[in-house]
Amino acid sequence: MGTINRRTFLGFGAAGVALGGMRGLPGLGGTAHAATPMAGDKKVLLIFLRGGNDGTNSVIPVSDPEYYAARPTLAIPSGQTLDLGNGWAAMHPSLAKLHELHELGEVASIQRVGYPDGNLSHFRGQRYIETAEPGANLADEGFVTRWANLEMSGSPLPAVSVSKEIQRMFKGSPAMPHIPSISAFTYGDDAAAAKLAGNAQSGLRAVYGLGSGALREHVNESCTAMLSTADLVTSLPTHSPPPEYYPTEESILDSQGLAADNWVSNYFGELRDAVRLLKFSQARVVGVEIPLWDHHGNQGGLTGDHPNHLHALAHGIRSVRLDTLSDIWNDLAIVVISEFGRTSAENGSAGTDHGKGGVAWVIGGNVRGGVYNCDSNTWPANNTLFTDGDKWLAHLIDYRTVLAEVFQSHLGTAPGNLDTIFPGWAGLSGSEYEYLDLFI
Amino acid sequence: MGLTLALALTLSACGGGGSSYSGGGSGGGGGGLQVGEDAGDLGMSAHALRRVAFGPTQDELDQVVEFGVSSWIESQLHPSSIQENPALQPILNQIPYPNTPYGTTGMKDLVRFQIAHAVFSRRQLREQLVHFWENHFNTDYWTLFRFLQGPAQTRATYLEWKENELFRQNAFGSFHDLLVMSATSPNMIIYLDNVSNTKGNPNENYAREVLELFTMGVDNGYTESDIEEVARCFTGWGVCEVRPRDYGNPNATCNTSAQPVWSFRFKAGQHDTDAKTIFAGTSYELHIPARPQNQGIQDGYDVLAHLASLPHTAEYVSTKLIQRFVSDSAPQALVNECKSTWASTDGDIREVLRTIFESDAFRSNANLRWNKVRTPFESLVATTRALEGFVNRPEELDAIRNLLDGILNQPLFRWSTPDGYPEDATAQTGTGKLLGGLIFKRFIYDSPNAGLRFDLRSALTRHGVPLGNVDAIVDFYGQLLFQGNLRAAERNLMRDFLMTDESGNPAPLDPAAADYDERLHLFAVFLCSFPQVIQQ
Repeated sequence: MGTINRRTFLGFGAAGVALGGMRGLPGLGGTAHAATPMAGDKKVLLIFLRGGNDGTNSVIPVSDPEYYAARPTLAIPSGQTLDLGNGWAAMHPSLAKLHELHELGEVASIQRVGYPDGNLSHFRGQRYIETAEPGANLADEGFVTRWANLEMSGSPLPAVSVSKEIQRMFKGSPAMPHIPSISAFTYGDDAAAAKLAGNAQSGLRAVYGLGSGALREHVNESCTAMLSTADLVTSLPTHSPPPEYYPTEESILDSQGLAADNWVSNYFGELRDAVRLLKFSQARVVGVEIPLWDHHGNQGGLTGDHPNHLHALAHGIRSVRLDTLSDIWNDLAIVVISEFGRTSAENGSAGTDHGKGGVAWVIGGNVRGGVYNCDSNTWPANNTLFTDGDKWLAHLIDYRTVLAEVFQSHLGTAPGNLDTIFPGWAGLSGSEYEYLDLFI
Repeated sequence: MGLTLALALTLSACGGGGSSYSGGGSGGGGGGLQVGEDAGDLGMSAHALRRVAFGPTQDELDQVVEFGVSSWIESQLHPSSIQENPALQPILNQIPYPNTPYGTTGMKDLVRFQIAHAVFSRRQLREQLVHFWENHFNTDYWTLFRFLQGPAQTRATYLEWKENELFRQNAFGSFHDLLVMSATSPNMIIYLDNVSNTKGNPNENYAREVLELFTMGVDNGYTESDIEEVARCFTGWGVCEVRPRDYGNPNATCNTSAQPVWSFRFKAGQHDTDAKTIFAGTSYELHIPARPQNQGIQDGYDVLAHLASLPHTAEYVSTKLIQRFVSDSAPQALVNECKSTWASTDGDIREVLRTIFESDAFRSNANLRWNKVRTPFESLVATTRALEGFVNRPEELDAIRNLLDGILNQPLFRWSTPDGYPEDATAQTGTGKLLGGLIFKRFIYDSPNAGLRFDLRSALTRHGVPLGNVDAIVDFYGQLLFQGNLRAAERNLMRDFLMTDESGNPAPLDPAAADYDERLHLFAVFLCSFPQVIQQ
């Protein structure tokens, strides 16, 4: 290393090329994208609803009278819900844009998703779902990363977390790239930025190859991935969907719903970036998130913050469909999941507290649409809402089963890898374990 | 010492304009410091500054080496004994203090106030703790904003500012006091819904999080029914507007005239007066008797006092402090020592910290140095301090604020979930955060065009480093930034960088040459992008 001088750092010397070959991870630039949308490969868009979505006011058991008894202010009058066609379940009216896709047969609405001994802590619950290891309190590696390590070795870009924080689903060794926003993922475009880029591309790659020990190696690996991700983002083809697909907060919510840290605009921004990556890079799995689903008080029945959340969620999903209909829609499965459902009865604050079984959706052009686990056959109208702890919906299917089916039936994951990606899933039994046959 | 001190102060007075780090040696506000037996230990001194402080400045490093870590930490445990950095007050003076909720002070002012303290205050441990308590008892400005009517922005800012003052004033106090301050702040009452927690059909939000996040720790000795019982105890804990002089009095008359302030208000009619039993059947069962409405506020106080005294709480909060100051994975022996201290001092935070800082884990375990990753805030502040960045106006601190609010996602006072921002290593190493940290280094290059300025030539001169001596410069920054964590290959890279011109040709470093300052600043950009800069 003693012979390296600044010529090398600045990328002028032949040694710079040799240095590039020393790095632990391959560069991504130039290989990880195509100028035209990449059709053919199956892809997954994960949408995590953080805070615990009230599944009972999302996919609503309108024919269960206990629903109305338990929710004197929050229940949606049956005449205002959106029928799901099985004589039992209906969508919240704020999910109208998702209901349009249901009518097209592209939405699987799955009630009572959870896991054994469901944890009522947000942070444990999210960890359990994202690591797919319920009960493993220190687990930190996500199921997406495990999938990538097993199934995508050699891919320069298997998956991306498009979110403010890297989502735990994408953590691990190596962690998947984390891009909070494509437009912000840049050194800048002025003289100082050029200097940063020059430094980064030559000198820093050398430094990120030095040192030893678990922490330094982790930081080195992450820093190298950061440089490579910056290359990738810089070379992504532009994507200009109609602005109305990805609207601002102000344009889709009334003023009562505003001022919460721009979460709606941020969600649509993440979706726009996710679609761009799914279209133009080799990324097969991209994850976005929506915060602030923890509606303990004044959550709103027909109108209010929870309906606003549902409206934004559904609006965004429809936008993704419109934006991908001409190319990758039929290769895409959208998975919506939350850490838990909520108490079946509303509390004295016109809100709901933490619960167990919740709702997941799987949406896409080759999804077998319909309602799962919310029908007259599986839902006795007598205490079903309170089967767990006299407060909550018990889960009927394990979230790992839903995810495993998406990974196997849609992404083509080898069955032998599923119990590694979703630990413990194969040891479940009965309806917790059985696929719903979600794909055509 | 007197002569040395006077000299140092005299020298600093002649130092480069704008430097906030002058003072050297004992001049750094450590007037009462005695030289300890552990003086002269560079490795331990630099480690202590990386943890107890937001990273070293050369002046503080000199000071800690001179007097020893024990003596310096003792002073940090008693912040009023430390003479404050004269550069801090002129910045604070330009930040409008919110005397009422009706002024112009906004959140950007509070964030600048917080950043200014972290960068410039010599009471560094206190600032570390302010961050710790703010994050431990997290409340979110946006939740207040949505709840408060009228001038919601300034009202919410006012409440966040008052909370920040309480944490700064009581950073080293008893945990019980801190817990009560948090529980009775309008911020927390609104944030976690005690404001709508009423008898008959309680709201579990605060009850769950006070057990899970603020005291015992998740799944650590409580059940679902305990959450329900605790929720009942806090029914009636609300807020209302009162006259300013009544702030904090939960029995004051609500009054919306004459510029009122939002305050804790106990609403007796909404309180569940029946008896409650928490932790039923355990050795730490708490029975709350049925009480008349007008005494019902005592239920909540009883719960908080009981929680603060539990060994579960001692364990959980001590573990978090150890994770902050020692290691993401807290050594069990040290947790146990802290629990003993907690038990014998009724949760005196100063004493728990002393236990941590006197432990072998903190002092001498080589595996527990450079073993933590800095949060973005810590990383940006540490870089600014080491390179002696300075500002003349508080808005120039927005170099840091804007990145924290943007790609780095550490928006002070506006973290939406009650767990606070994550501090563990793998949460800091997502590629987005790393890029944000890299972008920050542009301010080192852009100086003096950027608001946040760095004058490396003056800093080197002031610390006696020959401007044309490559090895001296490399050794100076190598020690300041990477003490004990710099490899020969890295040192060679640093050296070669300084001896190469912009075109990549070998060229001696010449302080008189036109490219000197740019080369020096680019060198610093390079150094401050090393992986060690996000480690501590």
